[in-house]
Amino acid sequence: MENEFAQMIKRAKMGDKEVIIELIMRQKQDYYRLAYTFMKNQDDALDVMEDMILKVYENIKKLNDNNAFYSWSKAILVNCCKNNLRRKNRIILISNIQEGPHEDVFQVKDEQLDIEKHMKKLNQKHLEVLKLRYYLDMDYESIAAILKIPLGTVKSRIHTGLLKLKQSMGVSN
Amino acid sequence: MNNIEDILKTQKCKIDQIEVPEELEGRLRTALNRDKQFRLRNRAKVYVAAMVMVVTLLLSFNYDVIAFYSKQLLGYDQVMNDSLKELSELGKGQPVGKGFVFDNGVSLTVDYVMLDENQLLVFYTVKDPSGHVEENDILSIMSLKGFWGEYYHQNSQGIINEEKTEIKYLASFEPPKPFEKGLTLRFSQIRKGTQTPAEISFTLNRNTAMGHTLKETLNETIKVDQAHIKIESILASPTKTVIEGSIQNIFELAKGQLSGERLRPTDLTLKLIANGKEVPVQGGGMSTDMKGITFHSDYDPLPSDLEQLQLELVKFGADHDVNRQFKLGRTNDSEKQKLNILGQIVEIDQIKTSQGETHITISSEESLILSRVYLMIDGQKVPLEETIMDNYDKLQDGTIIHTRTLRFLGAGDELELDVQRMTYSKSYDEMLEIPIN
Repeated sequence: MENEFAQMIKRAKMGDKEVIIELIMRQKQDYYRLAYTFMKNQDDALDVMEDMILKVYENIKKLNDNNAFYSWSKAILVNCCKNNLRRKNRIILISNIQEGPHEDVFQVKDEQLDIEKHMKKLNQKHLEVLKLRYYLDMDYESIAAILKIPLGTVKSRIHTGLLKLKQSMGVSN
Repeated sequence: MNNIEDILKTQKCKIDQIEVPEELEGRLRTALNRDKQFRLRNRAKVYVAAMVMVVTLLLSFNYDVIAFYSKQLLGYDQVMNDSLKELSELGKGQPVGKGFVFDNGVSLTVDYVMLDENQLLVFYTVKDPSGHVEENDILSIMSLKGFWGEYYHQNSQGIINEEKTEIKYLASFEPPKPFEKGLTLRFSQIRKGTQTPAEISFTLNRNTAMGHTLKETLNETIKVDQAHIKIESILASPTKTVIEGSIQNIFELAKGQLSGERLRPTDLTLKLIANGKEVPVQGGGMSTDMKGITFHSDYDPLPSDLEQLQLELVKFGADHDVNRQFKLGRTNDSEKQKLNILGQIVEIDQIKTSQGETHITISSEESLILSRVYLMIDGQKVPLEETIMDNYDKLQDGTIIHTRTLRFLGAGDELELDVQRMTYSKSYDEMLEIPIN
């Protein structure tokens, strides 16, 4: 098994596209949910995965530690997501201008229930660790590897993030 | 802390239910394969572009366009006439005389084109020998394809003859770029649900182009309520006159968005006055995009004996963010409550409660609309249900007062009108002198 994996990485480094696709499809659920957590819809999630596979294909030769393929490529995916969101944010600002008269009545109701809205108020760095930890059930080490930050930072960000979320939602205890 | 973690975990369950779409593998594969072609194409594009640049540089020395612009630069004075007819009689234009015949005998012929800096006018004829020319659906969605880009149809008008065998059209297109020589008119016919595309190609003769008669950068600013209208430029050509300007640039737009003091223009009336006489309006438009809020107003061509040119801001109206609450007192008819919203007066005529509903009668100047309004009933926010009983009264001085009743569901003691947005227009008579050189 180990051997086969090493073989596959080797072939991927030689530019075999099918192998790269297979490597990613083996953990498709993880990749897709990771992308979905950030992008929140199927179309965008698929788009960022396309971006990711291109980056993986272009850069796989630079990967030194073969065993780190999955955390390395997931880190790429997270970066693709962030870039994409940044681009989208720039655009939303303008297209939001036209609004109907009644819609925000519903919005107010939704806001009270929707934890996502509260999470949006969090700092990006806190938000992403919380999502990775709770939505995708990752352990601290994996989060540290994907976001390329020290283990201690992951822990402290999760702690602060939860605290801030608690304040924002007004939940006691 | 557990509480929050629980909520987060329910969210996780939702994520867990997300299935990976089946198309994923296919999408990844096409993305990878597309990549390679894309790169090759890109590289090829750069080479083609570089070659084109070199060729254009070499050719451009004896290109008509240079001759045309050098005349302009030397201060070549255009002979100007108001009407297009006169212009064409003077030979200001280019005969084309090329056509296309569809299978059912319907034909389209481009007779004449006329070019200046504002637009390209295409004179064309649609003929149907069977006498049903008005039923032949040649789409007015046309474009002119050139080497450097595609230029779209802006507007057109036509006259049909008595036998109904032909329509003569005059269509306006965006002006092609100065390097453009060969143009192809693309159009299509829709018959029995199928669309037949067709093309007519012709070569543009730049020597017949008319350039402009007045081109000025103005950069004049007129202050209006909560905004500045910037008149940026005027471009007058023998066929039309265009004033361009902006109301907010992208930074102001973003700032307004962030501070919650947005502005959405609804009405802008500009009057162009040449030698003391108003120039007839041809059209206009306004758009909001990455450049901010920009507008253009189109007028007829300027008179040839131009001595004085003025631009008057007649009216400006916009939708404004207000976000203010106004306490409503339950006064009797003896004294009406007046609300001052962004300097505009809204009178509360009557507040009535019946069958668990609150009816508020207000009156204001005609153009004023509370475009997003709520009623706070004992601290609870109630949306506007509907507006009823509209009534317009004309006062002696000519202003029109609009009285209407806002109906809200629910009743209570403490009433507050929550005005989030308001639209109103205001008359101005700001006059701007446009320098003519």
